[in-house]
Amino acid sequence: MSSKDALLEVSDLKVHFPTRDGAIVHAVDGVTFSIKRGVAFGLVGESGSGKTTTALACVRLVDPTAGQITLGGDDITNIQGTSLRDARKKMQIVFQDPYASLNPRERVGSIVKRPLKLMNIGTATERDARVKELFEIVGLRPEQSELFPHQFSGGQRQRVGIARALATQPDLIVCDEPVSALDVAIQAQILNLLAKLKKEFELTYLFISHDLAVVQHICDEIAVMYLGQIVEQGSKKDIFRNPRHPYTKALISAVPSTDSIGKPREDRIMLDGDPPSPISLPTGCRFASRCPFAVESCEDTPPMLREISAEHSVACHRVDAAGNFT
Amino acid sequence: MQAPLLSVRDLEVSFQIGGSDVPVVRDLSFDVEHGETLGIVGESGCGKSMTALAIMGLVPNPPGRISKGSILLEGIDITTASEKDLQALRGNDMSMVFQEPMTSLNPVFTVGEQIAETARAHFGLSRAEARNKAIEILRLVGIPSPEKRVDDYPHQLSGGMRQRVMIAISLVCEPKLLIADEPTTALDVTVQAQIFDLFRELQEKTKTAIILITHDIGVVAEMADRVMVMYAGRNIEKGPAIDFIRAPQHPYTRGLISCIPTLQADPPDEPDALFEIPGVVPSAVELAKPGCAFAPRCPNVIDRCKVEFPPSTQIENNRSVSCWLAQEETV
Amino acid sequence: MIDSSLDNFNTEPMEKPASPARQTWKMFSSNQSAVAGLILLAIVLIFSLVGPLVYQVAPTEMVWMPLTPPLESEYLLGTDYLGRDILAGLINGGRITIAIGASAALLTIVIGVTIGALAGYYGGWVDNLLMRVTEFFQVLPNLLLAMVVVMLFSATLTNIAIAIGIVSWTSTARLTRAEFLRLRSMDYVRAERSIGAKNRRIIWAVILPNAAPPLIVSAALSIGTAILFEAGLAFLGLSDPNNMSWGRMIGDNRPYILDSWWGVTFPGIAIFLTVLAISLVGDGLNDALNPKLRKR
Repeated sequence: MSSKDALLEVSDLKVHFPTRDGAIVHAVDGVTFSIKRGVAFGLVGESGSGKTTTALACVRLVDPTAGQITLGGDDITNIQGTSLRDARKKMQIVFQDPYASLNPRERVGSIVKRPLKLMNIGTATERDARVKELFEIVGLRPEQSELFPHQFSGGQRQRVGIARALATQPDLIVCDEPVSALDVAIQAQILNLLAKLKKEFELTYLFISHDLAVVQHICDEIAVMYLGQIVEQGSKKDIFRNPRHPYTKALISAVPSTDSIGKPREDRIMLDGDPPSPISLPTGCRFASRCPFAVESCEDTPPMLREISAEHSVACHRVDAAGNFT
Repeated sequence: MQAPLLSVRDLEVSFQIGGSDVPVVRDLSFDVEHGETLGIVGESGCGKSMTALAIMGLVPNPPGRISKGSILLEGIDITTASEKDLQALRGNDMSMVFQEPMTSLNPVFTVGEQIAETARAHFGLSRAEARNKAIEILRLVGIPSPEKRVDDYPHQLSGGMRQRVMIAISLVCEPKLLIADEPTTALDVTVQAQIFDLFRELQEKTKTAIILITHDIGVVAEMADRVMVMYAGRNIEKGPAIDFIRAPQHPYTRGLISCIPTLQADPPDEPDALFEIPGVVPSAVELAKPGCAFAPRCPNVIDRCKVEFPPSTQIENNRSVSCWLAQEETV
Repeated sequence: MIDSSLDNFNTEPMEKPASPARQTWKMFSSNQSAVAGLILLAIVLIFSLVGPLVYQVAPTEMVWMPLTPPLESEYLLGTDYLGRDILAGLINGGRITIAIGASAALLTIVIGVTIGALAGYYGGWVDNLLMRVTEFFQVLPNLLLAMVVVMLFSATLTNIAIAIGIVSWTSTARLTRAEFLRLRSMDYVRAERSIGAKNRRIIWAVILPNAAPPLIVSAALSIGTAILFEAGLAFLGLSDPNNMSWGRMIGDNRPYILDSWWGVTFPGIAIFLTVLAISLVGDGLNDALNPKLRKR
């Protein structure tokens, strides 16, 4: 898996939380992927799939239980203190809810300047100039830096959040559902901004979303998560043109589309029920209980993620080594 | 032709904001026929949820009130009906499903008790009968082993299950009109597909009319027969869903449809930038200004837009649009 | 490179940046009872702080016949059983009472906020340990504990204030902990961590200001509670013999209550008015600082 141009490499990442009554939530349970520089990598999945926890662990906002995370070749899995703070310069995060991610008592200019101050970057004058520049980059007016977050609309707040994430000129930006709290018309503005920034500053994105259309628009590579594990991973073309895992297929077909007016898509794969609880996991394939194609072996042994073509991997007993559905 | 089930005329809902009356819904007129699905589309703050509350007779008062117009449900005017009459209408003839299923269910009662309570109030059933009714309706909405689930408390259910319970409660009395306000926004797409499947099935069976309020164009395309687009408290375009998707007329509708990324079976490597509607929706206080509220964001704006709101113009089969440009084209 | 849509983007009018403190004052000043409380409080403060300069009668000395009723001598509110001037006692005692109340409340807040903040922010064993300590102090009878402290270390003003502070911080700690628990999972706190902020900054400079509104209210109200507590201690005879306070006046005059109603009534009214004023201001602050009531 390891390659020279990989910026972020995650191998066998596990994040487990204890619950109050002593049980273990397997939020992320053995996730491996790597993101090359300049690539937008999408993690898709439904609620409870562990995509957000994975992202938070990658930027060390959640402590990994096991596995390894390297950023630009440096192992950041367990670093603490100064070395962690240094590493944070290179990885930043844009949060989902722009109403919750900005300190309501801080002026937005100060919010954007804060990372520079905390990480001792530049002199006071340089920082002011940088904040001004950042405001322009994300499409805000520098005069607005004196305002408080509540004086902005959701889209503008998200721009402030993006400016804060860009402040230290990071290599990796984790975007955790950056547009799902925004109105549709505003989503386009923010998605275009993110696409423009990626090109202009050669950014690498780890993009978390439940919205397949958004992921398809922004991302180059995609991993589909189900119940703490990656079930399918590949290029954008692989995933959408040639989805192999039944869950990926179900997910894609469940998206209501403007092509089928007045009726559901004909190829829709309906799933029954809900995912099992991440506390008591099934022994076999985690998707087996909802999978319309499950056979006996699916219930017994968990399928491994294996390559079916260059950089396209699937974890399904019903998909053979050549990628054919059997 | 049968009279429409619901007939809204010149509806205006006002809110007291900072000491003055601000209309958040204005000049709204539309019909809902028996058994059809009307999609109401718009961004947050466009008045779509307030319209739903007005139909249910649930506008929070104060600060809000219905300041003009009429809402006729099978001839009964909801705007003038007494609270007692409204209570009889709600549940019996119309019911509502909200976006957030957790907060709309009472956490201290089992789901069975909550369904049974509604059933008892409306059908005068005995306790045992109501419980059976609850189990039956839970099965109908696709809840596995309803005999067991009927005794669960809301927190013991997943989000999808809770929303199904909400739908069960709203359907137990077989209403003629179901208002669903973003019923699947908090749910995953695979669960959303299940819920919509359920809606279609029930509509087939009970001929319930549905008002589906959403911001998701894909949902509208899949579910609605007709669509009404709202912007800043007003209806700006109305017509069959297929026309709305294929040939939107109002500049806002056009923008709304082209600004969303659509899922493609064969995605391009480098997608084009999305169309942007510049700016943001006007704040409630700005709504009182004359002219078309969309004018500041409109790419086709003309001088007249800034001073006068365009009347609703009929274009071809059952379509209407409120835009001076459309007006000029038809004249 | 700037968005082509930038010019159209910022269509919203630029508002003058109003600081949260300004908005709070706007809300507060529109609340009549809060303003009444504030005026009353100002009167009490002027009375006790400026009063001694204007009315220079020693509160601890015998100046007239003992137990003279009000309005029967030049000492308007009468004298107590030792012939001490009641008005002088009120004026000078006010200063001491308010000083004890304020410093005890300050101590309450410092201990309560520190313990609550650490417990709420760190959680886990820190939370467990600190909450057990809090519960321990909560189950001890307040008055008895304070009495023991004062009796052990002699009844000076400082010791009385410390004793009150030590027994009354638990509810502040619980309140602070609840606020920290709520706020520590907010995304902006996460964002601070992601930009390299240390725990110390997150606790004191990020979460605490956001948790401040209920704490400010609680601080204001705890001054009132502390004043009542001081009165209670003094009533039981535990007061600084070298300083007059309202509580001590009531305590001293208690045995003569049947002969001289004025000896306990005037300090009682003074305590009542002060605590009332503080409560009104506290309630006003509560409304003004509650973001749900604030106009958006």
